[in-house]
Amino acid sequence: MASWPVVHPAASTAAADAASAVADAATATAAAISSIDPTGLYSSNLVSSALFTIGDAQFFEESISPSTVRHQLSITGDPSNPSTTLNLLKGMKWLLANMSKGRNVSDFFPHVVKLVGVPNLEVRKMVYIYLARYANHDSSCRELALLSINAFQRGLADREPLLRSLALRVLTCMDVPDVLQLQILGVRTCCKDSSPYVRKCAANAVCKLHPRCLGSGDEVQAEQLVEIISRLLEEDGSTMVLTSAMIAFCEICPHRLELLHRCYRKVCHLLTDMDEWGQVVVMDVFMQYCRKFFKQPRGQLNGSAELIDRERRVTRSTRKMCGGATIMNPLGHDLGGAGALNGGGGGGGGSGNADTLDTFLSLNAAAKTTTSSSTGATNNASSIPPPARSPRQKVKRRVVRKAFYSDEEDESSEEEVDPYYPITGGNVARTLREPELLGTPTKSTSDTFFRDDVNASTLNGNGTAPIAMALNDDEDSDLDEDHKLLLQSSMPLLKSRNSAVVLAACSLHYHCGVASIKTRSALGKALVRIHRDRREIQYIVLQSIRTLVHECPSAFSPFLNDFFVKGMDPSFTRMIKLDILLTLSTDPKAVETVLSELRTYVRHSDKVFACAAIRAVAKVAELARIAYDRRAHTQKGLDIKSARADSNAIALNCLSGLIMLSEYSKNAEVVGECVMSMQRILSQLWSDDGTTNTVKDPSGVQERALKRLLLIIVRSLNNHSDDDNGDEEKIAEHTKLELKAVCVPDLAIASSIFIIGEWLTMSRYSSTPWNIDEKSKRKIRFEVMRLLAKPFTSLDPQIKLQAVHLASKVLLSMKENETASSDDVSQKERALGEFVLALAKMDVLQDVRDRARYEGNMLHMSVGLSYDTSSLQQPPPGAASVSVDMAKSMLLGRKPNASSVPLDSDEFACAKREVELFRFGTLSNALCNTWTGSTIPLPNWAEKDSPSALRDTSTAKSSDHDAVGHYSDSSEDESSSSDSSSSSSEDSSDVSSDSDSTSSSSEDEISIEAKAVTNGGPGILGSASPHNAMSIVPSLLMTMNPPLTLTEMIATTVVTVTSSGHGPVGTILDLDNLPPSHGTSHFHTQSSSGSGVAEGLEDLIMAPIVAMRDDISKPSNIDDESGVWKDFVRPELSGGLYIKMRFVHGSSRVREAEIMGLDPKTSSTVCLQVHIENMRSDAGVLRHVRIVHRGGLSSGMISPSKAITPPEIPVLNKGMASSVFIGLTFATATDRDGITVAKFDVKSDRGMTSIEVRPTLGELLNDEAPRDMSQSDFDTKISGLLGIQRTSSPFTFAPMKADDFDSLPRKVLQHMNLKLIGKWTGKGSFVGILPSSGQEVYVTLTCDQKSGNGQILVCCNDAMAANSILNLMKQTLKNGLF
Amino acid sequence: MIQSLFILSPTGEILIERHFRSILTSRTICDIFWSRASESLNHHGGVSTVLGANPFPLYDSVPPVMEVPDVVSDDVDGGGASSSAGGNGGGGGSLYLFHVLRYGLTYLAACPPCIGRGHHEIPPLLVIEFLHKIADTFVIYFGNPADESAVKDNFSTAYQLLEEMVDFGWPLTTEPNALTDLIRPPTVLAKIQQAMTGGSSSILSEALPKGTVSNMPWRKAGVSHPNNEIYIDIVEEIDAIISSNGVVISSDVSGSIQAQSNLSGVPDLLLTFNDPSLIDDCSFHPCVRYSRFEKDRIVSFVPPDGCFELMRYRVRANENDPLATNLAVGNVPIQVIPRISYGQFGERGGGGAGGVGGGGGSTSGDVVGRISLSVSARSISSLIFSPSRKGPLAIEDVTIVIPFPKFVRTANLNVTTGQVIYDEAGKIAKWTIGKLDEKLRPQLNGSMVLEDGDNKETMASSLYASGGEEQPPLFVNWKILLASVSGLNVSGLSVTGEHYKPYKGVRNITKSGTFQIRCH
Repeated sequence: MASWPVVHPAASTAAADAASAVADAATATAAAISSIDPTGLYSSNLVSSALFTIGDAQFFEESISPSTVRHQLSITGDPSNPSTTLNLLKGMKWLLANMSKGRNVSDFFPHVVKLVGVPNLEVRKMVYIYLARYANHDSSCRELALLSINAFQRGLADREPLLRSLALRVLTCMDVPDVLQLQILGVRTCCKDSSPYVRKCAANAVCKLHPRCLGSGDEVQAEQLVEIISRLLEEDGSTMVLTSAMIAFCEICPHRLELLHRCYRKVCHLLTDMDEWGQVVVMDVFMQYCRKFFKQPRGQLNGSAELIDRERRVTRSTRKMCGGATIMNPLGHDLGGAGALNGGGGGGGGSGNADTLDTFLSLNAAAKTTTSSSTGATNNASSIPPPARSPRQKVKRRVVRKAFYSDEEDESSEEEVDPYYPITGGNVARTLREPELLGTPTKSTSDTFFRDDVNASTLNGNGTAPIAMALNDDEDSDLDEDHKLLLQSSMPLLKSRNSAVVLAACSLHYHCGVASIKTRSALGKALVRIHRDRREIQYIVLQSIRTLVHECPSAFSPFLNDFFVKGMDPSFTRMIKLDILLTLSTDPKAVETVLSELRTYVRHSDKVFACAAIRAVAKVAELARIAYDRRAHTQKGLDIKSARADSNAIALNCLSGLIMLSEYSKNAEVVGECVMSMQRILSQLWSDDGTTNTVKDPSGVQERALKRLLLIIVRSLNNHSDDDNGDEEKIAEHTKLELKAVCVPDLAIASSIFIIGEWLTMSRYSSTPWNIDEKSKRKIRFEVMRLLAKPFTSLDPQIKLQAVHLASKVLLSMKENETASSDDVSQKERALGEFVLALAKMDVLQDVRDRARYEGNMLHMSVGLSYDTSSLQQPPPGAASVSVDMAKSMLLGRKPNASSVPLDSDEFACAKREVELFRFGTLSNALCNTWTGSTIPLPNWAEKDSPSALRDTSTAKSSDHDAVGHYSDSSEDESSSSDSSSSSSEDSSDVSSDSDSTSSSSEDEISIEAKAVTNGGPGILGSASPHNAMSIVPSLLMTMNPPLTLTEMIATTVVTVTSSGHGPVGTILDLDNLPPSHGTSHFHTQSSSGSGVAEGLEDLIMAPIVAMRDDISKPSNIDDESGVWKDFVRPELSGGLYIKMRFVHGSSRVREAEIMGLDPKTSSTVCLQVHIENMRSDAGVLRHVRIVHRGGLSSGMISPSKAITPPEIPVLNKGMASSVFIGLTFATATDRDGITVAKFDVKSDRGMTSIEVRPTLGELLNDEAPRDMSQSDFDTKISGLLGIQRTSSPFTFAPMKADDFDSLPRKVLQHMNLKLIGKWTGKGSFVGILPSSGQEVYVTLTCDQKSGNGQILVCCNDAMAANSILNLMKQTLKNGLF
Repeated sequence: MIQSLFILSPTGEILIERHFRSILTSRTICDIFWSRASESLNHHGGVSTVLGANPFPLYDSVPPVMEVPDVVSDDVDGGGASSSAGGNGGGGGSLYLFHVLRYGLTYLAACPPCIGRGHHEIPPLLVIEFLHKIADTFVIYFGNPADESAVKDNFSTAYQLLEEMVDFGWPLTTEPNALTDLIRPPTVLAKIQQAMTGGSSSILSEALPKGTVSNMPWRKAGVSHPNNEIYIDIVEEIDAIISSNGVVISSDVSGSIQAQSNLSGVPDLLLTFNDPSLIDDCSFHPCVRYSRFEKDRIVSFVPPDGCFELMRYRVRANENDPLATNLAVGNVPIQVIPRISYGQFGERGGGGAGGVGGGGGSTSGDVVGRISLSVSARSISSLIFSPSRKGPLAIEDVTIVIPFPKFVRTANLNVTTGQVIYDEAGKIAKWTIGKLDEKLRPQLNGSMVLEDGDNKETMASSLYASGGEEQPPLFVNWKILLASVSGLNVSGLSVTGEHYKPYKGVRNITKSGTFQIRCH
């Protein structure tokens, strides 16, 4: 590799640079041209007009009048005259420009329609654009449009496929009812076109015509169009056509998924080969297909995984159950903390006042788990079924399995199976498993997760082992083969450069795949990668990530940093990123990171975003508590108290930041948001969640917060009572306040009144922040009440409600301090409170009145109100009155934490809705709306898998060869044969185009072929002699992808052969000629595990055989025509893999070469038969055995220009063997010996071995040409070769048996591709042809059996070659004889 | 799929209008769109494009997908049959507008809510990707930037391109190699030729577009170059957020392999890396065989002709600590330390710089701000240099884009090196430094005049800004040749399938992606 120190000018990274360079050059040229002397070649007039016409922008100007254009278009001069064409061009451009401007230029239609046949393609294309736009404009246009039909029909018969397709496209574009029949006719013709491009356009045209057929009420025609599409889908092999056919399916008959049965496997296999746009559509369609025809994978649960709110609820309620005790199950720690939460949760026992079913169930399960763990089975992998719910077993199983997508690594995953309650059960269990996933933040990759799982499962006690073992099968083992095929073939698309493809693949796997963490992480990774794209793409991708991140935070937690808001993120992505960041704040470290980011965001210039960030601060503070609690549960040495202290410290930190911000900011919205967030944090700090909760607050942050809130209340409420501003002092106060605080929105005032009310009435014995004496507190209370009472009627309803609440709380707490309440102040205060209640009772708003009546009545019944009691009820006689304690517990008790995460916030609610209603990545998801009904739900899963026979293509039809996926992933030969593969498919496509032309030329032939193939492939083979057919089998393998089960193949072949042999009439096969089946003896041990799913591909993969039909009838015997086996890979060196090869000669070579798409006439083509066998001593299995050609030139050597290597053998069991072929065409033919070399890597899961194949000159000789040479011919020929052209050498050999002696020439022939002339009588004559020069080589071998002396004589025009041959002969004899 | 496509100029004028499904979407949807879009023209929107060329305005808060009521085709042309077919575009429903913004042009696609007869929603990314593809093609054809004047100058070619790229609203031929076979890119030379010869043959090549019918739509058929050469650039971009005191808050390295292939025939290439494990996640050009990479970590492909992006990859993050940034603190090769403050200066000579509490009511003297930037190159960065590299660290093409907050009226900036341009309308300054080495320490100093202090609100917000608020981050662009962050390099590139031995060139480039410096 040349290193490249200098900046090369040509390597500009952007194509555009090059383009601009060209433009520069062109400008220079233009300048040069314009400087040419006027009397020169070009007239200056022309040049100037040329320069004037540079750039089409002029047509947007008003400089040209319509009449000029009309004139330009109507000149019908000589069409070949350049100036005519130029005028036409100008005219059409003007028309287009005016169409762009929105003008109606339909009155030019008569002029334009005449131009459909103009020879210049550019003009013609513009005419087409115009026609498509105006053909259906009005009745006169429609009539005139008919004039153009003739031209299009001529176009449809054009020689060039491009023009045919163009004509079809434009013809079908015209929405003119009169020509519908003609259009349909055109489509019918074109869908049988030989060019895939035309067929593609025909498929597209079907989309256009179908609605028109329906529109005109022609159901029959419409149905026929559907048939065209379904036929294209089934029969066509070109990815190009399939793509469009699939789109057409989507457009015209998307509900008829059953039409896809036959093409399902084919399309799956070709998926990677399709164009990007088609892949998206195919995956979308197959998602529906998959759900309709396969049953739900066990691993897939709706709304599965890691919903954090569930997790939180469990944490919270389990703690409630504990009653504040921190019971930890120490046993859980050894298992990576997996069972810890369960233990902690269940310790409290069974009584549940849980509010949701989920929580109830989870508690139940948790309790049970604890029971089991306390009895010594220390694992979370088992859970005893809650007997109350169901007598059926709910088993959480842990499965160590073979990975689905990766071949190398085994991994384990655990699956919760409750066949009867799949969804609820799964969720509960997953929720319980949660801490394991979330509590171990440092495990970055899912691998780590799994490894831990493995450990845990190995650690599992013996107690549950039998159950686990019993269910120990693959997570995806229940997947239908075809379902698996789809998932497998779509997996590589996650690596597409097109984000739409990636997203579609993610969606497919999400909705139809196995919901393992592993898969989810793969999806996550791909999504994160594509989100770094242009902003429009980023928007959609981020929305999808937001949906997924709720499901599976762990898949995205390694990418936290990627979701930081960047400086130029548009507002629509900023908000989503914020949401994602929040959801990812699941562990202390992430919380810290996110908080430091939020610190930046709250000061963002986009105030809406800043407000969202402030809201987020409160949420993160709450998430921090959950995260720390969880960590305390899952890590040794941490208790809940210190965790609580940590999280409280964070909350206080947030609070302090918010106070600062509310001081700084002059923006009402921002400050309002701060106030609300402060309220949330304070509520959280003071909330009653069962723990002995003392908030350590050394720096008095809460106090500062309260002061700040008070100030803001006072300022804002002051603003409301602006009317009495006569007072000098008040104005001064006002201004002072204004400087200190801003007036915040009403909602924020309400929110702060609530929290201030909480503080003011906080019972004395609880640890109160900002401990001030009762007197000052009362003063504050009084002032706030006064401010509320004064403008009460004009206040916002929210504030009114809070005012009522505050008033009743104050009144109730005054009762408590009865002793102190006799003084004047408290009298006033009481009066004020009741005044507020009374005002509220007569408020215009129903809500406020209700609240006031409710709270007023309660107060009246418990403590008694003194003033306006008219509307209040007395406690009913005889009933116990509402006690003070009861009222207090209702109004003054510590509230449980009103969580803001994630249910009550808009964004989260929206995201939640997405999970439930929308598929991610869809349009409705992007818009998040349902009312249009645009959201299209996926079909429900089928009850059971549909029979796979549905997807069998029993009749192979088309002889399309170009279907062989060029880059298809599933085509195993592709992937394994590396470099050579493309050349091979090149070849095969060559073949295909050949056969294309032949097939189009003679229709009969097609039908014959088709019939032959319809017999099921072997039918063709049936026409060959049996062992011939046998020998074809291995070579079939090379063209097949993925390989059919070899044994199966043989079985079918043999069966067909036999049966047709016994068949009555018309069989070509003569059973009597059936030799002892040594042909099959090579193969009866062969096996490779192909999948049945390849069956859909016969028509694609067997194609080359059809071309071979003639040759097959010739008898050949591969054993007679091949060289000796040579060991290439020894089992002891390669982990048990044994490979031997031999060269194939004669007609076998020709046949194999043709099958592999090599040119057998080229003498540099050699074929090798390869025997691959598993000779492992330990009865192990070899996987992924493949032979890969290694390119690269070595000096002085000739390497193959084409190498056809066999497909990969996925599994080779012990003792199994496979026989395949390798085909090589060397770059050049040579007459020199030993300079041809082909290097291969033999790879398997046990390692790699490099081998070199060096065909000797002897192998490269051609034995074909001198076919009819007799002994006398031979003698005359060699008599002419004398001197340097003749070389000989004596040799000796040990005495040998007569049999051996007789077989001597065969041994020679095994090494040398020569032809024996006459008979062997102790003297033999051989002849061959040199590969390069084509000269003949004559060899005479003379042996005297008795004396053991012999002589070799080689005669050839090329002395060097003669020498080489002589040496080879000597060597052969040496090896062969002794 | 796409029912109609409009291309709007930066002022909302329709440059291209094309209807694909025999339904004439009313042009009023463009007005609806434009009225929403123009509301939110962002004065800093140009930041993203200022990196390349002239700034184009961006509208910031219009999401790329929106729903508009389907105005019944009122046919601006005045009377005439509107669509009968299609069935789903009729009045009363809604249309979905997708837009992408490139070089100031809005590519606006109007789509019905679902495909065909309503069993499949339109995949939004498909439309957006396709619109970008159209814009990309325009860049290839009309040069970079493919802005208003470029498209206007070539609008007939643009129409022809759309004709070939879209059929019935679905993508048809999108590979550049195939397209250039169908429609030859316009060049000035060709136009002159056309103008003089009448353009009979020069515009559309007579050669058949084999690309579209071959198995490899991305490669032209029958390519022949006198010199067979292939150049490969491994470009790694650093996205980073850096705090004002130089601490790396987040950084992320993503690489791409750009290639320019001038190889004849159908070469089959094998690209191997020195350490493929550095690649964490990647995406490929369709020409790459996915499975081969999965198995052997070798990139095997038949390249398109010309320039293309072979693959993109992300560099593997730190295994142990995924939250840690890839680059340790101070390891970015360039350091920019901004100091920006707003406050009361002016004639009176200096109220406190951070004057939060300073009485803002009085009006004497302009409210101004101070800005200073110091830039330096750091040799102790974690870059891995190519062995062939000589000499000291040199950072090339250094530019710094400084967006100013809205309340800045004007700025007066002086620099010690390079030149600075302040764009009054966009409130963006662009400081072009050029080449930076370790010795050079360019400085920028300047002052800003804020909007009038009379207005209390503005005043307040400017004081507010003194708390460090509202100062958008700076963007730094730079490029270092023959250096790499990850150390990924090509260890071999072999050509099979053809006999010639091409010239091969490989180089590493490290450059800035979204490299931003926060100012507070």
